[in-house]
Amino acid sequence: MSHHVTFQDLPEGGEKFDPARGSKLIGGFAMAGLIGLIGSAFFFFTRTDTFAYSWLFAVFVAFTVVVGACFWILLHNASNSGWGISIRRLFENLANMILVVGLFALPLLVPAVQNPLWEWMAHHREAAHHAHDSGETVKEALHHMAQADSHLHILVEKFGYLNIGGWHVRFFLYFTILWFIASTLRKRSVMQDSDGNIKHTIWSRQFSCLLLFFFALTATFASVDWLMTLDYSWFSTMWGVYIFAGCAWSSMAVMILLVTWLKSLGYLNKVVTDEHYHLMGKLLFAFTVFWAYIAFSQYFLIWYANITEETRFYLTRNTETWRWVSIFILVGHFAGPFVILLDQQRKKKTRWMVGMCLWILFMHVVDIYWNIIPERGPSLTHGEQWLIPYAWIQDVFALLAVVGGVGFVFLRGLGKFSLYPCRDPRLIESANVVN
Amino acid sequence: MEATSHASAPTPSEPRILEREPLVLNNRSYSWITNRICGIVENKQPFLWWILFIPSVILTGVTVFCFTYLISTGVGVWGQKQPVAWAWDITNFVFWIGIGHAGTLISAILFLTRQKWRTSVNRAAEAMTLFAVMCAGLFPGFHVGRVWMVWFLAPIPNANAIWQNFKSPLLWDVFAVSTYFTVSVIFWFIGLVPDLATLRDRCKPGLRKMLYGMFALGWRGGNRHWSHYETAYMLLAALSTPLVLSVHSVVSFDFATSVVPGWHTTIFPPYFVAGAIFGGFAMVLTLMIPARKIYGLQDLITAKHIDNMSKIILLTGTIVGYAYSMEFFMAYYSANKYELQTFQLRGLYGPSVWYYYCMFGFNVFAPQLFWSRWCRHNLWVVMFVCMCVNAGMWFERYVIIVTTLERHLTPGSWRTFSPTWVDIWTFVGTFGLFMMLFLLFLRFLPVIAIGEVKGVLPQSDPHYDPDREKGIQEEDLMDYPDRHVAKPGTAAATA
Repeated sequence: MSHHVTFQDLPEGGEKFDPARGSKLIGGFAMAGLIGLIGSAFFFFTRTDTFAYSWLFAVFVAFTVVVGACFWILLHNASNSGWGISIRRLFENLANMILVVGLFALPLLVPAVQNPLWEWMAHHREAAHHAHDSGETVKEALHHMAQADSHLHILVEKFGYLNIGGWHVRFFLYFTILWFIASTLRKRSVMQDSDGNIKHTIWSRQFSCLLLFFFALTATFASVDWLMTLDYSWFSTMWGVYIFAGCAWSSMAVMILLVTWLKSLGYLNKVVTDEHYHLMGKLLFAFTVFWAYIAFSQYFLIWYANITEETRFYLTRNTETWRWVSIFILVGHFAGPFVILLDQQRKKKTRWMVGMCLWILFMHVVDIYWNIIPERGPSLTHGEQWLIPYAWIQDVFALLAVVGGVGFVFLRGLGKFSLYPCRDPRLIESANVVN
Repeated sequence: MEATSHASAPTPSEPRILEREPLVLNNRSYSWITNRICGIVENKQPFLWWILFIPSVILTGVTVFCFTYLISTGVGVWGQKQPVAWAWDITNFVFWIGIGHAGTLISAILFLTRQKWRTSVNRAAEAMTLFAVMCAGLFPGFHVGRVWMVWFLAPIPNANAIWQNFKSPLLWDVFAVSTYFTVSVIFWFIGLVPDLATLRDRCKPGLRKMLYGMFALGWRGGNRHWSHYETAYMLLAALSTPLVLSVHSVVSFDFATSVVPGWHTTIFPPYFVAGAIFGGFAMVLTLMIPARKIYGLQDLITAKHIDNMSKIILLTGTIVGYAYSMEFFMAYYSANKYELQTFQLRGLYGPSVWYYYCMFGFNVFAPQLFWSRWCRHNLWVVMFVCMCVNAGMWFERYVIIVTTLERHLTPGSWRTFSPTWVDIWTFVGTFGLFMMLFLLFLRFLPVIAIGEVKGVLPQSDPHYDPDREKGIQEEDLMDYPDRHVAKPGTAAATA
């Protein structure tokens, strides 16, 4: 260790980001967002049925990264950790993007988007229509519909949870809870920047312990409502954990990229060292394995038991070209990062880590794509592709719009507060961390 | 770089750093640590040790008797009959295997995550792991019926040219548990080497010195020794970490790969692992709270250690609660009537519904007491919760295994299970075996890793700067009524 950093070595009030210095990247995000939005607007009005999937995919990618950031700040506070104080503010800022993601998620509330995405909603709406005509309840109407089409019977059974009103209430609840967590923790953190009161640290720890529970429920049921119900007959108790594993993984990758970018602009150099890269790399490695463990367990148990209601999820993804995507995920999402991140020295080398994190983000996007898009069509390139010509272009535009938009707002807002919690009582511990 | 001040700088007198609680209290010296820990082995055992040891030996004898009776009579002496073919035996197996998880978790995962507080409890937890796995192994071993043919489980050619069923999770269990046990023994032993050398060096010549010397493998504490030791320890920690996850995941596969409603659910692997860590930590505390009192180890196993372990119990208990709830939710959401009925029979109106309430109450509600700092610092409350968890984790396995089989898919063959005296005493006897082994461990081996505890003292840090800016302890900041760290200036018993 070269020099022991003390408060005297750090600028009073911390370091503030000047957006002008990062204008290239910010401009890039703005441009991507603009192009994406124009393309998305076109597809939204011309091919709503297929574009609905693209938009859900793009919003969910951004959602997972932000949820992951929320998890990391909760975990960091709850576990009374010291090493990551230097990067905690960046996570806090990222978690606060939940409202922007919520804004991008608003089109998912449009019935024309919902009906092709969530088939059960279309059936419910049809039932509501019948109910309106006949004066019965929606559930009764669904029951009548199920007499003609027995597949719909499970919708009657699930009605207590899976109904349009409940879905919308939960939709707002998820964003509200996440926003409450993110904004409260950042507020406390920023207050500490100005008053230096150590009690904020204790308070944030207690708050985080309590809110972790609500966070877990939010992440679980958001993934159930938005992804699992794409096929209303499929279910898996592991689902929430599986999605969560990807959230934490991708968010840490974003953080490493962000820290590297800021360091290249001259920020954070006194508080973030190789040791932080090593620690972040280790967590990235841990979640590479955790994701694989969860993904494998889910696949394996469904494969082994071979029950029709469950296997349909993997049958779709193991046929036609999706099969190759599945194999690609196995290699790219697990095997590759596992081998590369195993080495201690590599985790401390910025170039390796940047390359790895870009790859991880790409694989995370592929994973979310693989989870959502097969419900739109059974193949990437063959079979019924003629029904949805060039649908993947819509996916690219949607991703550009959401990621570009969220990225732009995030980076623009980065200068509002110090880049690290400058009066945190564990900042010096973090700056001098030896791993 | 632009730097903007948000507020005036704090006055120099105002503390700006939140200090970590010391892991060894009262500024204890290296020699005090060595003397205190080695003293347990070197001095006569307290009377309480004998009070605990003699009944443990008797109970071990009871288990030996029960198994002998089983071998001579047949597995029918246990209470299981179709459709409840797995009952207390497999419940006990999963229960003990679960307890055998905390040791390696503390040793390996907490080591890799640089949780220094592990040093005071890892040795005892590892020992406990080994003894728990031994107890666990007995049950499936004898459940096979003809125990003298249990070697058929090993993948070696046998006289009858029978190959094992490699597609069966039961066989994977054999591999997983035996691998886990082997690596845990090696890991435990490697960690013991420097301390065995310490004991060797303090012994008078004789049998003891010879044995400690033999197992200390010629350790002299040189730089090369420590360098090799630390590399080996790190590698074994990395090797053990996936094993912690794999053992209970494979145990969960015994159930989850089936198509039995209530058993086949995808969340089982992480749910079992979380439950195992949960139960393991409860058992560590159950053993270590009395041990620290009896042997005067309060400065080494501090309130902070107990506080941390209580928090892990709270966390894992809540994760287990999440898994229970997700199972129930998905049973409803799946709209699968068999799945739903299984859970209704378990939790609402089945014949063994009180087992479910015990499980949920002990495992999910009782640990919620640990939200309160007062509860985490009151040893009676901590012991109460740990006892709840110990019992609750047994109930959990019973609920999963027995209550499911009691109400299997064919109502005509429904049957309520009741244990025989052999079931009960075999299980009770394993507690004797477990305690006996643990007490022998206390008697002959250093209960705390001497070398490692010394390594977490502030003066062991090569970068330790005595002139660094002083901060404030959380106890002083928050003015907690129960203090554990002496107030600055008032501290300090020395060795």
